[in-house]
Amino acid sequence: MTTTDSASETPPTATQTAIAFEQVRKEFGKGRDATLAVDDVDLAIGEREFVSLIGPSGCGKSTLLRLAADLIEPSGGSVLVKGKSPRQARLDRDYGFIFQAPTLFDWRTVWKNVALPLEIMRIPGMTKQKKQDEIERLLGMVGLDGFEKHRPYQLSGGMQQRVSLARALVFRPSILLMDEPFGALDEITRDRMNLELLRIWSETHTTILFVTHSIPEAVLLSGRVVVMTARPGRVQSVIPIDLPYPRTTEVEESTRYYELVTEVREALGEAMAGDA
Amino acid sequence: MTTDADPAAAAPGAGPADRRDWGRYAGLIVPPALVFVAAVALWEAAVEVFEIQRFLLPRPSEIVSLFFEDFSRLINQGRNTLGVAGRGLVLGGAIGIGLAALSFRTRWMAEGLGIYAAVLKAVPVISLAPLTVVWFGIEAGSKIATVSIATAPILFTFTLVGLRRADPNAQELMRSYAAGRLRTFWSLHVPYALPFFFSGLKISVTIAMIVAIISEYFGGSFENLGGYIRNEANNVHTVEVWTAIVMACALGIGLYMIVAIIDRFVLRWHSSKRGG
Repeated sequence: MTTTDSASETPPTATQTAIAFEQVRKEFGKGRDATLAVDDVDLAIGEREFVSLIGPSGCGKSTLLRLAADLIEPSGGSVLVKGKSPRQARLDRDYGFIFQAPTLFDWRTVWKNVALPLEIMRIPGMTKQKKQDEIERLLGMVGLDGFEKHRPYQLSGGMQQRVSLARALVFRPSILLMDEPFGALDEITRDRMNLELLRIWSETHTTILFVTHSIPEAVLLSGRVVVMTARPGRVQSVIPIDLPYPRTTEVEESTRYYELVTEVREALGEAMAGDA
Repeated sequence: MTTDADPAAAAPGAGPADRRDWGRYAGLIVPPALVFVAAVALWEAAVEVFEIQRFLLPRPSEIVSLFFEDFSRLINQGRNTLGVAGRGLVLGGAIGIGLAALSFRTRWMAEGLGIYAAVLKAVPVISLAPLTVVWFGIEAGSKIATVSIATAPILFTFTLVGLRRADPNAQELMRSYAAGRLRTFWSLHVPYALPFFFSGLKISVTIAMIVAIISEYFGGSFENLGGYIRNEANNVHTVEVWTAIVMACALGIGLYMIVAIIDRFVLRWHSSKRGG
């Protein structure tokens, strides 16, 4: 076992900035057809912080995530990931990206899907034995022991997303960028995945930037919730979630939790009213 | 007999699921076989009842007996035809697949080539046979060339469609891993292209056999099915012609089935092959 258990008791402290958006603007298309997806976004996410982006659809929350991942480039302003350009961060394999669809390869077994990043990256000092141990450990962590030889299509949606999570963690990126990862799952599975994600987050010391449509999900998971307005996407407000970690389902029954859910809902209401 | 367990009987998977599989295969094989037997019987009876001239339509029984009498010669001629079809297919495949792999990332290139592939598929390729004879001589060379002209555009089109079908999310995933082009090509695009490639191959093997026989029919050696048909038809040896047709059919179907079996095996992960 790894020696990370003690860390789960201490709340994460933002010592350094993991991701910084400064005056970020993103336009899609050119000329008259151009749409401003994101405008004037200033946001800093600290190391080991768990931050959720929430807002009406079309508010550019996914755009911010994709900018940080260097899947697209900003039209203005700057994005820094671990103090570097997103491109450099991508080349340095600093982040793992998780899509709403599990995006698994059907022609590979569960084991081989998780092994994919390691095959590509050829991390120095990563021996065959270390690889095997790491994959085994991660499959255990996401609760998929015994499914190594299965193919993705033999698994449920929730299990598929767990494979995707294990695959993102296998090369130990310090940042996870998650684009509505549990949006396609049913409520029950989603609740369980949320709690597992919190546990994994505290065990792996990663920074998580999490896009979601769900207010309860955002409040349950995050240290801060960023509420965005629609078209163009701007930061409406940043709401600190002062619920103590580690959080369990009991948190969802506390008064403070309800207050925070209400606060986020009201901020979201204002964000949408501004739009109308 | 010994009392030791027969290794074949002890083989795994000999359970009820297997028997159900056999039931399914029987359902696939028995009805067409019955139709075949009935058609042949009807043919035999029709020749008898209507007293059809032997040179117009010989009895199936006569064809079959001559087929086995001449089997060694027919199989030799078949082997030569198969050689031409096979080499033409390999050459056509190399050109078609090579061009698809080179052009699939560049839209203008793929579309530019795609138009000519479409044109080439519309041209009755056999009309090019005289040209290839001028270029490559009357023997195998020209026939191989004709087969590859007929098959290259088919394999180009199918492979291209498959290569371009790769899931955009999966492409972004590979980008997030900073995977190289070659790596992405082999790990992502090729598996996506395989089902399409096999569909193209199944069409191409049949066409390769047909084009090989017809171009042999146009001239050159008699030691192949097309040449033999030409020679015997000129002498109104109808039964001999029919035996060559039977051999051509047998080889064509055999080739198709080999491809279909490989397809099934290689693509057992693919949604179209998973079965119930």
